[in-house]
Amino acid sequence: MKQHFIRLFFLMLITQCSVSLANDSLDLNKSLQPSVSLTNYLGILEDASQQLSLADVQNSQFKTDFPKQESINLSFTSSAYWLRLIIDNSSDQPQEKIIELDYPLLKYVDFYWQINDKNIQTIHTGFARPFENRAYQSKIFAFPVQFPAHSQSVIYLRVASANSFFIEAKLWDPMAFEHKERNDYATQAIYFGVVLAIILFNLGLVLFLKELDYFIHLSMIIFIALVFIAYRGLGAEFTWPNFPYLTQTGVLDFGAITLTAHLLFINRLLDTQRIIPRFDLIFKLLIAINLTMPFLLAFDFTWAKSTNILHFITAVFILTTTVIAALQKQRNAYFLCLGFSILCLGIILTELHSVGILSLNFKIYSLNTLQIASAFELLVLTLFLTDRYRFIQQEKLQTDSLLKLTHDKLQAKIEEHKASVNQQLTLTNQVYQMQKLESVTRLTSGIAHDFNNILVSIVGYNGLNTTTALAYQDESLKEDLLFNSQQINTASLHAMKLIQKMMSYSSRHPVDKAIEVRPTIDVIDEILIMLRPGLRKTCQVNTDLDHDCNIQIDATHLGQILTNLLVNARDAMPNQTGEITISLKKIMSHEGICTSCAQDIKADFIELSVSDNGSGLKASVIKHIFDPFFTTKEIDKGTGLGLYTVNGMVHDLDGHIVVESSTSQANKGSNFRLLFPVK
Amino acid sequence: MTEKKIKLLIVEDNEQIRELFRRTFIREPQVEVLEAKNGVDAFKKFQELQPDVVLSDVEMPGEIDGISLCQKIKSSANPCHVILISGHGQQRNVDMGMEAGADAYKVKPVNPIELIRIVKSFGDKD
Repeated sequence: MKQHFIRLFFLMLITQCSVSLANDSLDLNKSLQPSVSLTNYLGILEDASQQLSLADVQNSQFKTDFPKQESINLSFTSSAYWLRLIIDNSSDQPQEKIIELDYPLLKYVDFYWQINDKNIQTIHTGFARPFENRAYQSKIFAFPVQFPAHSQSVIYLRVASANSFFIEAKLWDPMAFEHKERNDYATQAIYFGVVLAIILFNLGLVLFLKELDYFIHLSMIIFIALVFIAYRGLGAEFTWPNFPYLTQTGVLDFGAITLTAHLLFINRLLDTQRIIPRFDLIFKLLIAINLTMPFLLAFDFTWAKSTNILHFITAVFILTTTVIAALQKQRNAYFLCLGFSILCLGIILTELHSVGILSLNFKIYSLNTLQIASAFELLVLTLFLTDRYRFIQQEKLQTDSLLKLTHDKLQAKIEEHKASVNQQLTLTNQVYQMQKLESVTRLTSGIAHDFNNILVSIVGYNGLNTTTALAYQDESLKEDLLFNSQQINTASLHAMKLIQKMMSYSSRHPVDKAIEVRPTIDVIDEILIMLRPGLRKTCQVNTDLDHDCNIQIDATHLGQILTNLLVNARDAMPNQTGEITISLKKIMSHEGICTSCAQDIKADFIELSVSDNGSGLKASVIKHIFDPFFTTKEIDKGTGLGLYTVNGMVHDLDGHIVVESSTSQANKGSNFRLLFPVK
Repeated sequence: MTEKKIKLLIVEDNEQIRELFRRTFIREPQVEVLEAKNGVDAFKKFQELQPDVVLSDVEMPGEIDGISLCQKIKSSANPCHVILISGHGQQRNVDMGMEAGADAYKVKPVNPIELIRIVKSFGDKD
């Protein structure tokens, strides 16, 4: 009673409520439109026991007053329904027509055509029966009928289905029907084409991004498509013709799964756990119930009505959640709201219609509009996901660039640190070298001084001996003694010279002021004249001297430096044969590293260089050439103090030494470049 | 006329060398040799004995080295001749000695004949 009241209420509310009595028969001569709704010409008889035969029905009373609408909504029912249609052809011509039941989810449809109580044709069809049984090969049920001239046909249709169903019967002109069918299939082709494209696109996203969100979205799309395949009868015709169970439960099963996917989707994307924590339990509950439903339906199809109610609740819940999220200014919610609104509204109305609360014709909403809404939703969601992907990519790019920036900064810091550590190392090395030199110098100085004193004694006492010997009368003895003394004296003086040299190096004080500065050119000339006997025999000495260049250095020191370098150059030549070049010039903004102190140098200098084409020095030798007592010469030919002294004198004047040397055949030789600061 | 003896104060820390210097003048009757083994001892003896010539090593241990001794003698009320002897013969060292007021700066080893000549020449001037 209550249900009846509600049904009436919606009826009053939504339909125009214009009720007219159905006519008894339809005269084909009077209807010239390509299609005529048969609702008002249908007599309907409920067969609650599903036991009535055609003969029983022919004697029964049909209910014939239907409200003016295009379909009769029978919702869920366990009864079979008999429909009676009386069609007159008062014209002189036979007429071909098609009777259509435009709803694919009819499990059993029995078609009986009688003229003057004589059975002309019987067809048993419905989705539960083989597709070949269909008189017209279509996803819906259509029956071509030829009405003879001046005849009255009575058509009985028996319809029974476990699904919620409605009767929408139409009489079609065959041409118009064909046209309508073509359009309908084309529309489906377009829809499923779009869906396929979206599925492929999303599949690409899933494979590329490997994110659960995109997988859920993909399942949403696939199951929505399956819902429509079942709902529009395409499953029974093409996809699963041998599995009527899928046509019966498909809408509900696939619907439950796609709604579950929707719930998961918004739960994740709208972060509902955070923004609407109260709804969390409802989410879980709805997901659980939706996933249970297909099993319950498989067990007992009477759960179908509850499933419809559940879908209705789920759709309302999804819509409410997205609207709340949108009101909370969630960026994602705007898209989802737009995508879900029409679809959810469609689902809500369809479910109301399915359970019989809405009895008016919602075919437009429930079928085409719902399908369009679904396509719209899929497109919007795909756009949304693409936008989201773009957004994430942008964020990723930003993060990447930030990361790169940080990385570069760190790298720079590391380089800076490295440089500072290297500098520190160089300094430590320099200090170490200085300390080493100092200790060697002290040691040398001490030994040399003591040694000198010993020699002074030897020489002195030998001198006294000489004086004493001179007093001897024995000439032969005197001669012997004098000769011996002379030998001692020569050897001692030789030792003394060596010691003097060592002492002069080791007790070398900073040459802070030049004692006797003379034109550098003059000193070089003098040294060359002095060394001529030792050099010119086999060596060719070239000079390239800038007469304006003067080094502020004591002439004796300069002489000592030049002597050392020239002797070294000569000794570097095989057989002491080759070329030596002395050059003096000014060099501006010289940049380089001092071979001795390893300092970075950058300044203007007066450069005095001595180069030779001798055997050259190996890098391992260059490392040690300024160390005291380091020599490559034979034991009695070099003291290992020459370059040590040169180095000390140059550095005392804030100068530096750059040694360039090569042992390769192409440019064999060494170049000692002494750099003196310009003062 | 009795020839006045030249008082020569030899200052040398190395005993062997001090002995060498002493022996250098042993055959010179007009030279009276006095000895000191360090700078402090030398300056004390200089004040007490008033030598004519001080022959001093430059490098000596203790508070007073040859250079300081020379400076002290030269700045005293009654200065005398100072001959400095050193193992270091560089110009710089020579300059330092001369700046301290030394009358001669000799590098070891010193020719004994030359040393006798210098000492005698200072004694003659006196």
